[in-house]
This record gives sequence, structure tokens and C-alpha cells, in this order.
Amino acid sequence: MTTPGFSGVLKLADLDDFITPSQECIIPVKVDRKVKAGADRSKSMEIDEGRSSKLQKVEITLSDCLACSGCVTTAETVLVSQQSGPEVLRVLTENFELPEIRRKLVLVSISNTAVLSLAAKYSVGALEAAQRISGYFKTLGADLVCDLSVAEDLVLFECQKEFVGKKQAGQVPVLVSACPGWVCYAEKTHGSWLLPYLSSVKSPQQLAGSLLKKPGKPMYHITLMSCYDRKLEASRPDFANDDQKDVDCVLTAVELQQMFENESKTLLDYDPIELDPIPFSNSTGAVEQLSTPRGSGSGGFAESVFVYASQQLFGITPDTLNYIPGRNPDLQELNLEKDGEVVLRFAVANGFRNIQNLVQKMKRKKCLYDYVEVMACPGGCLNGGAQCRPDQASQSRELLAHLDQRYKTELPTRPNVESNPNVLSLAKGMSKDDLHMQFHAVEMTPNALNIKW
Amino acid sequence: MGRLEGSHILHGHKGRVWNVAWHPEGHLLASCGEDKTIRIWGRDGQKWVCKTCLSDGHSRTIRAVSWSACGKFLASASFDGTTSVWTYTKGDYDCIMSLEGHENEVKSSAWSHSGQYFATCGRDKTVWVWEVAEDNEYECAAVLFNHAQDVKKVAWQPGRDILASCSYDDSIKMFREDGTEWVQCANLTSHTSTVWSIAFNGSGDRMASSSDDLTVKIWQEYPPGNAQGIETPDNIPAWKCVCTLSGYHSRTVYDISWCPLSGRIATACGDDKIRVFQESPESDHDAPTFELEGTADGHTQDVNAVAWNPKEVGLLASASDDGTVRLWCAK
Repeated sequence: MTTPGFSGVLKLADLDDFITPSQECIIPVKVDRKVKAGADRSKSMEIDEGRSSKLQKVEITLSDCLACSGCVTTAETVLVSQQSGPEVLRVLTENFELPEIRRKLVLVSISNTAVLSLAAKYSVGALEAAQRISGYFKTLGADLVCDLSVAEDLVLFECQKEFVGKKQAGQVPVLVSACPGWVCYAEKTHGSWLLPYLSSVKSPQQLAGSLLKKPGKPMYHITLMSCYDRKLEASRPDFANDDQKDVDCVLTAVELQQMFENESKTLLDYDPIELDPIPFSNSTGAVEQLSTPRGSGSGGFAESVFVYASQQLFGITPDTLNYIPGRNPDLQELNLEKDGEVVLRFAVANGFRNIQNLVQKMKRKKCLYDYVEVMACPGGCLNGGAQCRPDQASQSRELLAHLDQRYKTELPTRPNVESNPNVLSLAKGMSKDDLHMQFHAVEMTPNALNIKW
Repeated sequence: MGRLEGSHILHGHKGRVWNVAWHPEGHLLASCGEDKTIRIWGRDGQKWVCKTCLSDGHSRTIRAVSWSACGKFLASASFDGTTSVWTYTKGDYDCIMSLEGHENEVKSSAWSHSGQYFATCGRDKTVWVWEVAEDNEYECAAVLFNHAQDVKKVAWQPGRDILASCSYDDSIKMFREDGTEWVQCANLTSHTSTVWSIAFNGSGDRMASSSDDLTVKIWQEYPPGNAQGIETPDNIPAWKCVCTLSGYHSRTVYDISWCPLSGRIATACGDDKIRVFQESPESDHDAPTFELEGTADGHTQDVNAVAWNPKEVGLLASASDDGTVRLWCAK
């Protein structure tokens, strides 16, 4: 939690050092240069550097960046301007100034991990924090503020079915793809051989987008997340229909703190307002607000899928789950034994070093796992790169332990998704495209000019 | 010229030679270069000959070679982004592992003296620590993002599992293991341009660095409770620059080697020369002085690397852009 910006894994995937001004971005930039013959008709020609006519400002879109194997610096800059606190304020103010009938519906989806971070920052309970966050967004003109529970459950439900199918077809390991930092690294660095192993189920953020956004209804969808990389995820061209993006703007816990501070306020200055129920879902099977699935603070993928697959594939309902510690605290394994034999091998692998070891083992065909919950940040999503910073940098471990503890004890745990009729009926109404995503390998384009010894 | 005499010129590489490394027993010398080969040289009577040429390990320039302390393994770091580990079995060197992970050019690699850890660094600004498991499996133990630019070299402190790295960001950083994490424990910043190389002395309480700022600096470790009263926050040893050698080099100092036997320091310079320094007899421990003992001409282009033989006092190897490896005797 020390450096702002994209997670380390992403920075590594996109590195381009020795950036000199002319090499900052390797996307070919078209600049129209006027060539003027000198007055004396000599052979020397001058290049008009914009003194007599203004050159057009060169704009690099995020899609250009994502499709490029070069630096991520540009992407980061673009994202900061496109998805930021000031941008939200601008859009909402503009929206508010429109006649009511023409206003966009403003939806806010808030993640539990970001709520917990702000709750810890301002020393309040998680539910109170969520309600005050809701109060803040309502003062800005938001129409609905919801948690992500329905989207999370839909994701888990789909992940469970996906894994059982792939396991039966022998297509393992299945690697969780809910972490955009990891996905971007996989696409840019390992490309086509690795991508088929990624779970194709969308992340809760993006699924919330497809759930909430309906054609023909102009909406502006904001999410509050724990991680900067989510901005990158929301910008993927795949997540847009007819110019409507599933998620228009990702804000993060630390940015919300900054927005309060810009107004010389704190979270406590905003009155709590109850979270709204998720629209378009029916009330039967509604779950407790801010509830979490079982398992890790990163969405509980490994645990939920493990329990489901144990039942479906082997008829075993594991009563207690014994996580086996790996080489470091960011690696844990979960095995299912039947008749003294391990029949399912699951793992939770967080942080870049464990991603490395996982990928290299797969390359050498020494990976024994069936399913791996992969997150780019050490400690998973509770330790997301855009969570509020601890008061002292040295306290980051303590803060993570604190958030982890609160995630497990303060937030209610939901029953398994497959027993929730609301999820089942919602899932039925959704198409494969609503629930799944595609990955795109990015070809590396080595640039000889950039090589230095 | 001076007291450094050329003794052998080893021809064989095509194109520039990047690095040389002595086997810990001193009887073999490994070299590598832009011809993507590793050559292993040994004595044949009075002559030094190429015993083996490994040419199928990498698809691009091999930037550096290093031997494990036990002498059983040789590592080669390449611009192809991989680091290969070789071992000598049944009369031949076999590549037993290709370590992937760096995004692009790997610049240097080094084994810890305990043999438990291995480190690599490169253009992607990262330093990687690998844990060497029993079955010769290498597990990534840490990826350190502390440098702001290309990392040029990694070196382990003798006697301890402390890793040092130097970079295009002008700094030298040190790392130690803290529980299951690797954390930075020193950041040395007095060079004003790229730090190309670092080398510890035999006992590990001093380190020399060479830089594009045309200087060599000598750093000294002050452990907690040191008699000089140097502060050691969090009981972590402090490193201080105790000597700067300036005015000797007219171009970038690309490499430096500190002889564990004689205490001599050799430098490889972009002015095609090799220089040898020795601590003055009356030198103050906390403000040491070093004297230029000799300069060697011979290479016709940049000298990229120097290495003192660990067993034979005064035997120095060098590698140059002129395509040769040379051996020298400091008398």
C-alpha cells in the first residue's frame, strides 16, 4: 500500500525504462508537418514547429495504450484524467443542470473492501461507513447507491459451474481472472498460451455493469473499489455496448478520501443514508447488506468453488476447510481428499512472486493445481493499491491484518450462492455474453531504439 | 607500464565481450558476449585455451556470467530476458534451468555465498531474489521494485545473505530478508550518474562502486554499536562512503573487482584502460586513502569487465569491446 498508481505487477508488465521525451510513448503519432521553402529558394527547408500555425494536440486514447506492448505511463495519465474525482464532480454537476427528464440515472456500486478501508480510516463501523458513503454520493446527485453482493454472487455462481465443466473436460488449472492487474499482465506478457487457462467469468465490477445498465436508459455508473487497476478494466473496449460503458468511472477509497479532503471534510460530515436494494432483482433472496461470500477478502473464489466442486464432483461436503500454508503467507492451498487420495487441489496465490512461480510451474508442466485464486496484490484485494494509506507507512502490515480481521468478523457471511433463488433466477435471465469476457494477447513489439546496454 | 603486465590474450569471441568470471577454485574462467556464447577457458601447459564453448543457451547477447560459491553451477544472464543455470556433468555443461520472469534484458546474476539464494536484475528496473530448493528448483522469493531505472549489477555480501544492487538511477540499494519478505535495508546515493558495478571486499565490511560519474567510491559498513558512533537506525548496519577516487578515470568506469587475497581494486574503464588501486599503508580505517598502483593499456576499445582470480594472487582477467579476453599479472 505504499505507492499510488497501478499495482506492481502491471508496472512490470509494461515497463519501458530510459524514457526520454521522444520515446515516452511508442504508439506512432501522426503529426502533420508543414514544409516551407525558404524565401531565398535555397535547398534548405524549415520545418514549421508550430510557430505560425498551432499543431493539433495529439491524443492517445486508452484503447491505444491497452493494445500496445509499450509503457503504461500514458495509460496511467489518461486514466487519471478520465476516471477521477474531479471528473465525477463535473459529470454529476452537468447532469444536475439538465432538465430532469434528460438527466442520466446515476448509479454507484460500492465494494466491501473499499468500504472497510474507509471505515478503518475514519474509525467507524463498516455499515455506518457504507451509509455515509451513500450519503456523500447522494449529495452529489446519485440516484442509487448499492453494494456489489448480487454481482458477486452471480460471478461465483458462474465460476462454480465453469470450473466443474472444465475439470470434467480436463481443462485445468482454471485461474481466477477477477483481478485486472493479473489479467493485463497475463495478456501482455504471456499471451496466447496462458489465456485459455483464465476463467472467462467477468469480475463483480463488470458484471454489476452489465446487470445495471439497460439499453435505452441513459445511465452513469460509478464504482468504488480498492484498486486502481479497476480503471483499466472498466476501460476495456469489450465492456461497452453502443457507446454505453458498463462502468463509466472507477473511484477508489484513497481518491474518495482525497475528495473529502479537497472540501476540508471527512466521511463523518456526510449523513448516513441506507444503501439501496439492487434494482431489477427481486426481493426474495435479498441478502444482508455488506455481506460477503465465504473465503478470502478477494471475493472468496477458491473457497466457494472448492465447496461446490467437492459436492458436485465427489459428493463430499467438506465440513472444515484446512488451508495449508505455502512457502510464504501469500500462498495457501486447499486440498480435497477422497479415499486417502487428493482429488482436488486449490490454491490462493497473491502477489507477483507467487504469480511468477505459478506461471513458471505451468510452463514446465509441473503445476498440480486444479484452481487458483490469483490476485496481483500481496494480501489480495483488501490490500489493494488504492486503499487509504495507513497513517504511517510502517503500519501497512498491521492495517492489512486489521482489515482482514474486520472482513471476517464484522461483515456478515452470505449463504452459498447456489441456495439463493434470486441469484438463480437472475442468472437464468442473463446471456453468456453478459456473464463472460474475452482476453486478448498483446504482441510484444520490441523497439530496437529503446535498447541500452 | 605500471605494475600490471599483460600475460595472455584470449581470442575466440566474435564481437564485444561483456563479462568474465572466475570459478571459485580459480582454474577456470568463463566469458560471454554479444556472440551469444559462453566460453570456458583453462590452462593447457603455459597457455590458456578455450575448453568449452556453450552456444545454444540464449537467443540474444549474454551480458553476464557468474559461478556459484560451490563451483558446481554457472549462470548466464541474457538480453533475451532469461537467465540460464548450467552444471558440469559427464564431461559437458548442461543447461538445467532457464529462469524466466524479467520482462526484458537481464543484466547480471549472482549466487549468495550460502548457496541458498540467487539474484538477477535487469532493464525492467527490478531485482529478483530466487530461492534455490533441493531439487534445483528455483522459486521466486521476491521481486523488488525499489530502483527507478535499469539495474546494472547484483552482488551478495560475503558471509551474509545481504544483497546489493546498483542502477542507472545513480543509487546502490541493499536488501535483507525480513520474515518471508525481502526489504530494502540501505540506499546509497552519493554517485551523480549511473552506478555500473559494485564489488565487496573479501570480508564483506567494505564495498567499492564504479560509476559513469568517473569516480570510484569506497563504502564501509558500520554495525550497530560501532565504536565510531555512527547511527544505525532499527539496528540495521549503516553504510557510509569513506573514500572517493576521482581524477583517475577519463571515461565511464564500467566494472570493478576487489581482490579478496591482496586487497587490490581493479577497474574497467571506457578509456580502454585497466587501473589497479591499493590502500595506502598509512591509511586511516574510517577515512582510507587509495593509491593508483598501475595502469594497463592493451585493450583497444572499452573495457567492460575485470575480475581477480580468487586463488592466484595478482591474476586479473578482463573483457573488452575489442573482442578479446585478457589476462594480466599484477606484480
